Amino acid sequence: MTLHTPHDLLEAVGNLPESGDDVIVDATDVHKWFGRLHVLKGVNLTVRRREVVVLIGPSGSGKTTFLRCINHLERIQQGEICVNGHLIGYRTENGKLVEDREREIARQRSEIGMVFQRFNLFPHMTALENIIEAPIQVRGISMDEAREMGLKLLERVGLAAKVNTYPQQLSGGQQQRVAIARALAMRPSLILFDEPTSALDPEMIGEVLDVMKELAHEGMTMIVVSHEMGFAREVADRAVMMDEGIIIEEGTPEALFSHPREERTQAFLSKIL
Amino acid sequence: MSRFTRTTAIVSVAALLLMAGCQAAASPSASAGGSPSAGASATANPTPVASVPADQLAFPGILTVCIDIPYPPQEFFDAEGNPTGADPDIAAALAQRLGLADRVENSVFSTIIEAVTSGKCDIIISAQNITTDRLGQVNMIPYFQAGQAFVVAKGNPAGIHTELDLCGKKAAAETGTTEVDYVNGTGDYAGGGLNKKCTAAGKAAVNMHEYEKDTDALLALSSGQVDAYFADSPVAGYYTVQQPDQFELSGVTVEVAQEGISVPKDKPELGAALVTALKAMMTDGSYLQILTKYGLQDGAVDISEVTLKTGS
Amino acid sequence: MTSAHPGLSRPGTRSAARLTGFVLLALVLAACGRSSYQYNWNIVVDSVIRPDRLILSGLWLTLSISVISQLIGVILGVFGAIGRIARLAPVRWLASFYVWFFRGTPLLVQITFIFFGLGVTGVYRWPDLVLLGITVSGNVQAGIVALGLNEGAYMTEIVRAGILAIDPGQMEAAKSLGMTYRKAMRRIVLPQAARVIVPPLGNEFNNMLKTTSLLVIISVPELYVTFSRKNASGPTVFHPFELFIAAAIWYLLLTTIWGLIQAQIERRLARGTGAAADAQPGMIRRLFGAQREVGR
Repeated sequence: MTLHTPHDLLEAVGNLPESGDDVIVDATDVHKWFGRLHVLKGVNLTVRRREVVVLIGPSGSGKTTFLRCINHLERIQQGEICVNGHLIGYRTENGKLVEDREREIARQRSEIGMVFQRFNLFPHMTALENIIEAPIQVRGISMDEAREMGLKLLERVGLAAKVNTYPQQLSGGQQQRVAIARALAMRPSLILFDEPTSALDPEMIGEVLDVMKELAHEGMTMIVVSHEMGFAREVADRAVMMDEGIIIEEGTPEALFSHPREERTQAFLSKIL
Repeated sequence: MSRFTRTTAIVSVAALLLMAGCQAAASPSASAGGSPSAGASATANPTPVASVPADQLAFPGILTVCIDIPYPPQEFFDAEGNPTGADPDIAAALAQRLGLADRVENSVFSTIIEAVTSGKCDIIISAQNITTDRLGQVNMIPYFQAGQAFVVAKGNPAGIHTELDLCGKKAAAETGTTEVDYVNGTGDYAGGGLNKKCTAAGKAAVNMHEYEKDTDALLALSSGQVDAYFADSPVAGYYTVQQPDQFELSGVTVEVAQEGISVPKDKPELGAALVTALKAMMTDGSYLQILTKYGLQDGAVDISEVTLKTGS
Repeated sequence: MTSAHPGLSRPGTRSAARLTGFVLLALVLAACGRSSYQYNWNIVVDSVIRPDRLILSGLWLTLSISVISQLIGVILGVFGAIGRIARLAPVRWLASFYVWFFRGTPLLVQITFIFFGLGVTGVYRWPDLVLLGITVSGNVQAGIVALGLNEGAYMTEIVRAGILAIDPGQMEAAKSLGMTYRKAMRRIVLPQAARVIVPPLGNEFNNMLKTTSLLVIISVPELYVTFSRKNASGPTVFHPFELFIAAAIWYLLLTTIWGLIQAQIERRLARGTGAAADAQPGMIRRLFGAQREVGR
């Protein structure tokens, strides 16, 4: 698998949308309950343009839940999350926060990419069709334009030969790379990664991490929930440790991994490092 | 041998045994004289005038009668849901004179002949016209006569005054009746019938809707689905008298014909016994009494007509 | 069982065995009959090889009513299924009520209510309609409405099961790309659900082809009713044995042809699933039973 020189991936989609805002994600005092279970107990996080943030923590810490709140796949009961300067999932009406219209939420989501642990590729479409589906259906761009962009993206992730292949015929690593290309096709200003390599066989983790590193080098804003410490050390600007619904510690990866201040961080890291 | 061959062999042998067994059972056994049963109706018990061999009855001691209810006033249900009307009353009276109890089986008219030939019941008394087709399957004993009439909605909105007014219109009748035969030109009306008259006059045929139950055919008229309802005259008359705000007679009628009691051809003693019993009823006046009770005295047949018709 | 019996594993042998059984059964029944019943096998032959105008028109009615009613049922089923899982409570309630009512009452009751009930009260008298030059009689319309509504309730549950069978991750991925719920349903979830729905849908249509015979109650002259009337009057009167063998043959023809079509549809929808679909045995084999093929 060959990756070209930096900037190739984003060049394939015509580079990032220009926006004045420097702060991409601003989450303030986010609370969430699942029934009576209080899973997020006041999470505050700011992510700037071009930042790569890695979220770590034990299972049940709420890191995946929080990630899914950022593109409103999960509702929050308290607090606010702003993406690209706009409140997501809700709007103010008569001074109160009400759930936003579906159309508006969908519009905001189209600017946030997401890559799932189980890939979630559309099985009834080929790799190329998976990639061009949203640009055509949501953005309304022409089939030719979409195909051209899709082919470039596939080439950039090293899967040019799999244009007409169905997901079931691809390996896990190949599927995840197509999933990343699919997210990129919408030219998002931010991509969320929910444990992107956890469901992969070890020998395929590398090819996916390579693509993610490439993206990071090209300046994509990324929030990644992952246990891949090597990846974090290499490209992450910040590592954030969550436990029992709140952020307990954050810092640069070297600082956090080498000299964790909190005891829970130490305990967690000792198990995975 | 392989399992396939073994399975085939077993199935074939079983089939042959079944066929042989059935043939043996079909051959008639020696007939025994039937004994009069207890449990006949209590009031004014007439003495039995004939007996029926037990093997010619579906249930021993009981005369099982197939009747398609309702077809008022010849058969209908009373307030408690028991069969009543000229036909059930005649059936009960005949059973008494044969020393039997009687049971009525409510049947679907289109398969009522099959019900009696397959042994589900012993006889049919259900306003059946005597036709060549039916005589091909059963013997029939004339017991009543009636014509057929067309009923229309009150006010005669479709303007049906003559037979040809029905051409191109919609009519409803019960499946398996001579009414259907008359319109379609089948059965004893083959080569003739109403639709033939219509096409001869350059008009469209009658659009015939057949229903398994006669009451549904009447319902088709009251729901506006058809322009006319076609049934035996006594029945047509009954409905127009009962619901004069809904129905009226169109005035179009078909000639009177005999109705018969159906008896399977392979039960000659039963047929003969019924002839004797019916004649006895005519002699002692109970026959006319029953018909008069339901206003059907005009349809009485003469005692000289009561024979076992076989169609040959 | 292992495939140590080549005799039954060849597809032709199995269907030949079933046909032989059918003929054997008919012969046994015939032999057990009364000696006085005149068998007229010409009735069977003529009805099947040289069907008259009545049979052909009955066949056409059965087919067209079945297809239209099933289509209505599928459409109602999709809306019903989406309604059953909707977020708005009143929508959910309406869909649940629809399913509960039409699955909870006999089809016969629904047919007679829709035709006679509405007719006598004057709510709707089902007048004949002329559509595209064809006169559609009132009772046929009522039959289609009743069958369609009834089928829609069953299809709602089938479609709902099909939708629920799709990994929720699919809807999440679609949403995360910016698709609205409706768009995601239309482009991503329902097309996949279709594959799950086709086998039970095929079963439903098979039933529908035969259930139209209930329309006898409102005098619709479809296939069964045509034979029933031939038994009640006309030249073939009082020959139910031969007439209904002929009717059975016609129904077998219809349902068998549908089975072939269904197999084709399943095959086309399975494209892209790779190994499993490509290894499926041929149409004929799957139709007449290929159990012993597996494990060769």
